[in-house]
Amino acid sequence: MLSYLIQRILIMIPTLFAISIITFVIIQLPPGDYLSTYIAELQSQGENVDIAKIEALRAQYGLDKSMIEQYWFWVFGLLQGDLGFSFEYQLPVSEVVGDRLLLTLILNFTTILFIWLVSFPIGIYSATHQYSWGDYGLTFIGFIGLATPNFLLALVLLYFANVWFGTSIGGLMDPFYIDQPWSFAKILSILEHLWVPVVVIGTSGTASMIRRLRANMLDELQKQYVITAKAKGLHPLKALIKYPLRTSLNPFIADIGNMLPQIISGSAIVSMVLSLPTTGPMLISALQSQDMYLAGSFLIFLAMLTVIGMFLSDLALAWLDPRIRLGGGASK
Amino acid sequence: MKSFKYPTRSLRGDYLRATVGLLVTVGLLIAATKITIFQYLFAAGAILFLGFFLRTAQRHLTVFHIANGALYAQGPFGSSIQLCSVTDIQLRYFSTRKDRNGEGGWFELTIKCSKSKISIDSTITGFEQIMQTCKNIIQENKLTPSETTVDNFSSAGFGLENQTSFNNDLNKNQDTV
Repeated sequence: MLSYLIQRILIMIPTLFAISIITFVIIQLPPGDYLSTYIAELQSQGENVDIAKIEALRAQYGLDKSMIEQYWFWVFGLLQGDLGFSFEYQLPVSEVVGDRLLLTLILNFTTILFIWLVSFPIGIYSATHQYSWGDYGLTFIGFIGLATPNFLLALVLLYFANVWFGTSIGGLMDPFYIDQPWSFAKILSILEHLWVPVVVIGTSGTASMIRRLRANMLDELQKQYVITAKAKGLHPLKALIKYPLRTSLNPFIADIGNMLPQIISGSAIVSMVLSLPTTGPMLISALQSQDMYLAGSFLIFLAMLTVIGMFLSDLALAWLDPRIRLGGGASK
Repeated sequence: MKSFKYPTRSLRGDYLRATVGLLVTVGLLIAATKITIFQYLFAAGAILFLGFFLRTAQRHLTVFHIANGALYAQGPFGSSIQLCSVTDIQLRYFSTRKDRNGEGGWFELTIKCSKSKISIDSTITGFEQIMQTCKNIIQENKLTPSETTVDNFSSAGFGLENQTSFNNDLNKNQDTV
């Protein structure tokens, strides 16, 4: 297992390096830079632009250097924990981002937990009670969840959360706690607001996972070993959980890596509708204004989540099902 | 007495990986101008790669013997297991390729008794002989390895179809009925 762990870690290093290059090049691809956008904005407002001052700013931010130099400056800073400087906010990126990264992680991990907690029991029930009223009903609800646009569901839930529970509109906490230090009351306020975005973002994921788990389970339940187990009188719960369910879970474990970035990008629009202080809206704004270090930090953060997710799913899969496929021996 | 050893050629890759990992993580630690969470991660990585390097060296110096009804691992941190007291055998397959079809991967055989365990990778010379010995132990000691182990033994050409824990569950159930 240690050899496998080492090999997977060593694969991650060039992967992240390649992603950082691609990210930086993509951010630099649009013509001009942040200052060009800034000048255009000032000129459109009829203001005079001091060219000498702009050139001084360009030199100060390192925008007059070659792309390769800018890239090394950025990457070396990242490895030191320095995310760079946000031109738009005139602050270090770490200060601009503040709690957003943490809140994004909390929101997205809670969403994944919600998806699993809801879809697993329903998927198992649907598979073991195929073509029953319960199966049809839950499948119908699942399809509604899949078909309803997230932003619409967000607006409806926001309205009912406010009318029924008095939850303030938008945000992940009461306005009083914004920019306040972390406290138990602040955490309670986040928990009070968290369920709306979690349900909104998680609904579509839940529906698709129910369908996949149901299909996987049905495949397994029709295999001969399950029929033999039932015929020989093995306890139904043991015959269900110990073998077919375990095998059905492998595709989900393999999918953890893809799930994280999908949920984060899916939550960007919901975050804008619900005014959530997460990374999504700020990333869009940073890309529009060519605030390259801010946008780059977010994109690298997303890439890291994907790579780490893949790494964890591969480790979990190797731990749970270290099986060779097909015939033939392993190479030496 | 049969002896088995990891050939130097098969350990070269592990030495290279450990060295590259150590160079990258230690290099980044040395280049650090301030301590952040990244430096703690690099330090953890450096310890991991150092541990891997030492384990590779330990494997390099270890010779396995099967003699007098026991398996011996002679070398640094050596141990031995009496074959008649083996309680569990696991055969796991690892590959960095998604299809796991046998190319670019390796088996890891773990033999356990109540007091100790010995792990051997398929890169060792004479791995097939060790597998055959393990198959005999499973049958003689009436062990019930996991489905994964049985599948992997079968894929490697050592069928153990009637030894699975699933069969064991069914047999236990029939006994109670």
